[in-house]
This record gives sequence, structure tokens and C-alpha cells, in this order.
Amino acid sequence: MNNDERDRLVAELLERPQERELILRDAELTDRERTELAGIVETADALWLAAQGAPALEDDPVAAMLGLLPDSECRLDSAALSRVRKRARLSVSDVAARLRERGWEFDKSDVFRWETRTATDVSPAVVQAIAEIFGAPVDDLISAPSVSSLPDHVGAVRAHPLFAQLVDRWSQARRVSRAVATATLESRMLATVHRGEHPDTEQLLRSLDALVASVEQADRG
Amino acid sequence: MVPALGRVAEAAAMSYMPPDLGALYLRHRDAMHKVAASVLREAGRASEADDAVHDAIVSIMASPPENVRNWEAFLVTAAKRKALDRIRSAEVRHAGPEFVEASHDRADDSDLGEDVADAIDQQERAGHAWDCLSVLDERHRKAVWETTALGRPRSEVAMELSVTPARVSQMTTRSLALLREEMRRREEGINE
Repeated sequence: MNNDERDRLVAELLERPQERELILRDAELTDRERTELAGIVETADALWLAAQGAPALEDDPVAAMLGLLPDSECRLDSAALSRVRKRARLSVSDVAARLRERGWEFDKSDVFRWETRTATDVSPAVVQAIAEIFGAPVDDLISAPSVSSLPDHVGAVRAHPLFAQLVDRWSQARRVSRAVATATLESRMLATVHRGEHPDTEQLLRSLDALVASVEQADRG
Repeated sequence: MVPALGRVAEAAAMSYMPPDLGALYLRHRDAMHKVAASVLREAGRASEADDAVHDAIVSIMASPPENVRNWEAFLVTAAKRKALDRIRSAEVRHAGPEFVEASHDRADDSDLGEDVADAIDQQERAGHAWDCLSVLDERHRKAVWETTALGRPRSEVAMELSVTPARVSQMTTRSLALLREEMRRREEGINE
């Protein structure tokens, strides 16, 4: 095998990974050449894997579904957080520790910042966790929803009567507040749109309904 | 000093609470996507990795597991299984998420250990490969990254580099050989 043949063979192996066995079986190669090719392919696979991975958080529908994208429907209110925390007789360190026990990676400086500077980056899932730590309703911790500009078809879904029903069902199935459920379903729609899909109102509602139904199955079963 | 805890907080502290799924997903989502992509690639369906991860999380939401000892292992395995399910399934999904059977908890511990060890090993190698790209010059780096990592056609990359597709193949093979050598050097600790 000369260099040109080797380059062509490598290109073929990279372009059709699912047919590698077949390609290698048909090639006339010495043991040394097979070993060399195996090494090159292994390196190529490692490089390919480096390029895979989760999408950016704001484009990740799974992150949206889990309430991980901050949303104006469920924004942590700094003053309310401070008030409810003190009422629960917990320090900012205690809150951070409780969040870490639940798997979140925050420290006391984060909680301190949420109370004293800004909490706009706190996701609905974290708001829900904080509410549960305090044993307080989510509504006691969030500010009134601000008017956000949504794409037309997403806004149309938000205004649709079925959306409110979906929010109630999601809230029940996931055992989260209505505010968290609203924010989650809204983020989910926006993540779909960010990914370049352009579903209409009916399609968005059907997709949300299927999602809610899938999570409800266990409760029904 | 930690102030006295409130009654609610004390009660929560005394009872075991599983981690929040959102927190777990944030920590392990990259590994889940990578393992799903690896499995699906063998069937030419790597682009469905996001869907497999979605299926895995929906399945876990619908049927939360109990007594999980290693969440990373659990989530990686769930993603891998959903990727395998997709390969096995003849159905092509277009209309959004469907209900998927909660099958994330059907493995025994030996399967879990093997799955995760493989996935972590592969992901470490991927990280090394990425780190070693710096040994290549810009043109070779572009040739190998665009064709091998991103899967772009050689003809497109060739046009951007103002060379022939055959030259791109040459540059790619050369780059992979250099990367392999550098990875080996670093793994063996030869580098200073």
C-alpha cells in the first residue's frame, strides 16, 4: 500500500464508519498496515468524540424540560429570598449546602449574590429546590412575571386555553409549582425554536401534550 | 458559625433525598450525549443522539429509580440503552417525543460498571485528542477537525483550503498520525 492508497483508505474509513469492517476485509493489507490503520482510526474516533456532546444549554430541549433555563415566568426575587431564608432560620451557607446535597453546584457566595445583587440567572428548577428547602411555596420566592417578547407562534401557544391545562398536568406530574411548570414548558418551546425548527401552534401544542403524557404514564400506571 | 436550623430544614436533613434530576443532568449531560452519539454512529444515526438522551430523561422522569449508587453510571447507561433502542427500532420519529418504556433500570451492576468504564475511557481519550490538536499547524488542524470531527465532505474543506480533495485526505492522515504520536507521548509522560 503506497501513501496515496493509504490516504484514500483512511478517507473511506472515516466517511463510512458503519462499513469499516467490510472496507478493511476487502483491502489487501499486511499485518503492519492493519495495525497502523487501526491506530489512525482510533485517533480519528477520539477526535470525532471530542466534537460530540450536549448542545448549548439554551438550545437543549432536555435542559428546558428540566427547568434549567432561566425564565421571566419564574424569576427568583432577591428580597423574597432573603426574607424567606431568615424566616426558615437558615444561613446563606446552609442554603448552599442544602442545594449541594440535592446535586447543585453552588456555594454561599452564589446565594449571597442572589440576595444582594442579581438572581436573574437562577433557573426554575433551582427556584423549586430552594422553595422545597424552605418548605415554602414557590410563589413566595418569585417576582411577578415580566412581559417577555416571545416568537409569534410561541406567544400564540401561551395564550391558548390548552396551554393552561398542560401547565396544570405538568405541575402535577412533576410535583412542581405552576410557575415552574409554566416556565419549563415555555422554555421547552423556545429551545425547539432555537434549534431551527418552525412548528406551528397546533404542532407545538401536540408536542407538549405528548411530552406531558409521557411523564404522566407512571402516575397512571 | 451555623445558626440553629428551622424545624422544616431539620426534617429535610434527616430524611434521604435523591439528587434533583436537573442538577444531575447539568453535571452529566455531556457524557450522556457523547455515549449516545458513539452508539448511534455505528448505525449511521449519530444525529439522533439528542433524541436518545431525551428518551432517557423522559423515561427517568416517568419512572424515577430508587437506590441509585452511582448517578453518572446510571445516566450514561440510560442514554446508551436508549440509543441502542433507537437502532433496534424500525420506527422513524418525526412528530415529537413519544412515550418510551422505562427500561433504564433493567441492567445488573456488572453491565453498569462496564458501560461507564468504557464511556469514561473513551471520553478521556477524546479530551486528550482535543488537547493535542495544538501540535498541528492551522491548515492541518482545519483539515482534520472539519473532516474527521465534524464529518464535513472533503470537497468542501478542499475548496476552503484551496487544495484538492486528495490533498485534504493526505493532510488528514498526516494529522491523525501526528496526533496519535503526541497522544502516546503525553500518555507515557514523555513530554516535559
